[in-house]
Amino acid sequence: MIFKWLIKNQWKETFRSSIWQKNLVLNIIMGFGILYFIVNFLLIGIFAKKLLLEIFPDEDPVLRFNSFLLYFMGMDLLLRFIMQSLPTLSIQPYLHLPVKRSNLMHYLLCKSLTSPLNYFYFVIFIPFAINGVAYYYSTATAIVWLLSILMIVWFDNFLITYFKRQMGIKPLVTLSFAVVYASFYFLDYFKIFSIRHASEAVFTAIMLNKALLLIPIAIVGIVYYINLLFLKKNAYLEEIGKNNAKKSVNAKDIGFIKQFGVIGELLNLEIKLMLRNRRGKMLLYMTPLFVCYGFFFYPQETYMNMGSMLVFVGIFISGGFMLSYGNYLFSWESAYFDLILSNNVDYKKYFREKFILLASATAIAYVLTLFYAYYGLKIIYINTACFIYNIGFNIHVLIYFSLRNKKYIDLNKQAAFNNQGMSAKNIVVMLPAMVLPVLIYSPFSLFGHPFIGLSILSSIGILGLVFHNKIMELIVKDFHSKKYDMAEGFRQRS
Amino acid sequence: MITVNNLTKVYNGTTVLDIKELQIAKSESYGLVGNNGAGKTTFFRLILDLIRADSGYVESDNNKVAGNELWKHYTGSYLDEGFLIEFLTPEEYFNFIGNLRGMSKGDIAEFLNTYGDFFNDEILGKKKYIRDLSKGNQKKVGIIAALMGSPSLIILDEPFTNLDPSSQIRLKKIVHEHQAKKDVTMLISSHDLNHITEVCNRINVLEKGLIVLDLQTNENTLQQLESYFAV
Repeated sequence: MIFKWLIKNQWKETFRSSIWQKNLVLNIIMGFGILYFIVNFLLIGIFAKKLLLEIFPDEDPVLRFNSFLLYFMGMDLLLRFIMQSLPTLSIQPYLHLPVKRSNLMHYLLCKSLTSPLNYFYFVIFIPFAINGVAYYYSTATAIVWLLSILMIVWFDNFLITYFKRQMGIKPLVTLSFAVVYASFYFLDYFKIFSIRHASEAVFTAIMLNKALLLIPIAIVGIVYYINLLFLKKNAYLEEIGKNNAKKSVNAKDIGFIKQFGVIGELLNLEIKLMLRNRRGKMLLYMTPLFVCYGFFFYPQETYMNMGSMLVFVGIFISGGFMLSYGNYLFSWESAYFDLILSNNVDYKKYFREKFILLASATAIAYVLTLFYAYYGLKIIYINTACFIYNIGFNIHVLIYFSLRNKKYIDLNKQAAFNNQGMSAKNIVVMLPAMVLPVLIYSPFSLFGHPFIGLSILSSIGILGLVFHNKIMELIVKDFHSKKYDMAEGFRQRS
Repeated sequence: MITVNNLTKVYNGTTVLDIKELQIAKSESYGLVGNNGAGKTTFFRLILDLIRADSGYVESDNNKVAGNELWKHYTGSYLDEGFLIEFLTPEEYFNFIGNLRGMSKGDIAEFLNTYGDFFNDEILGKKKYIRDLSKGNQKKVGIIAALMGSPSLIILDEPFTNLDPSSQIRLKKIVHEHQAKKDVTMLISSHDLNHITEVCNRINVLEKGLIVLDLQTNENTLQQLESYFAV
């Protein structure tokens, strides 16, 4: 009985979630993205047999396919570790009701199995089961084979749920899991232990002797039970909600910034905002990656000859932080936006602080990327032009457009692949910021005058800096009329 | 101090606030009572220029608040958690607000010292972020921050809610102390008729966006209010 209600409420939660009420354009873009992957996976599934036969003509393609399944499991574990969120909070409203605790636990655990993402991979496996396994063996074998893969998916799901829960309480347990995971990788890499062979042996054995399917089912049962025990032990309200491990406060101020009066005060606040909230931290961890982005391109001759590509990269490596932070500029502060508006904060200074924050982050990234000179001075010319363009043009554009972003951001939600607070506008801004310079530069580069292209990019940036005060004045003026809508939007917190 | 003229606010076709004319004099303690949805918070937000009026205007010290930042220099306010910065410790928050209001480090320390009783050893020096404090303690932080830098206009939305009885009594004392200062105007809303009659010398009753009663507080006020709200 209670399960019926839980499922009903769950259904409502899903379909009334704000995800669906997001902008239509964004939904369409995401829809296309998902469709793209489905089509790709489907093609892989359909042509897997043919491909395998071509590469390994003398071998049974099904056995070959089986040898990849443990790698698939490993990849899946890794992806889940990054992306899978824990379905925790949603049982809070039931804990005080006359519902058996263990029922809630079962519900909570099984709920994660209902996510369609779990079954996404079957777009590959089902076609192969039909035209591969069923073709060479039998339909019954194909079904058993699919079930064994289903068990992998469920196993991964429960295992990650367990380790993610442990992470808040006993981080060492999760760490040891990571060590085991990594050691398998190295054992395989140095050919001490072959995952490929193990994979082939395990899944072929299940196919040939269907009773062996009971073993993976039992293993899934055990992991499920471990999860259940863990939940029963820890399912008290105080432990469920937030990360109960209250870390000690890092009460550091960045001393020298404080000297700059109100602007310094605001800068300090935003630095703390990033250091003390999950979403901010995640962005900070990502920032070095933006800087290292060049390593994907510069070592390769093909890219080095594509000037427009290098401009794109140049915009990104110095502007990566600027673009991802600036896109939500005011949403970051949405939780206390009313305070900013009603307190003694001079808007001119407030915007000046925003500019300084973005510009200095961009400048630091630029200086760090000077070492790319190793790949040739050309890189430095391009990156310098992009840096000037970023500071002089892109920052102003970002600030201007972020006045139109009215979405509240919950700073403590997980950040990876969290697009809360995102709207089509964000994408619309990102595109010109990164694509426009490429469009400006390309024609000149095509006709053999890349330096003119770079000079134009730099000039645009310099013009932006020359008229900086005027532009800021206009933006602040605009802010006076936009702030009501922004504050109104930021107060909608679901 | 505050002049309101023809002020209206409409949400989805419903008028939630409609004040034809209102004057709040300097050093008046103005109390606002009304049931949920009467428009108290909306009114305060309009005074703080946090929402756009559909018609009319609010003047603070003879300057319209909309599109103007002069009022910010002398106004201290606390309406809701949207005024707190949750990832700061209370000390950091007080320092931040204090700095914005032009207080020195010494000023801030001295100021906070006087509220030791009110904080009841649960707020300062605890190495906790504001987000980890209880609702009541969060409220205390917000209220005290609103008093920083001796503002001449103080706006508090339901300051007594969520506070324990001792803190409510202490808060009343604090409010009285600030009222005793020269030229401090105070705007307070409350659901507690006792509290509001104790701390305000003028009380307005708001119902569905309209001011339906305008009382100068005397010994009969509480009774009047109770009979008004009796069902």
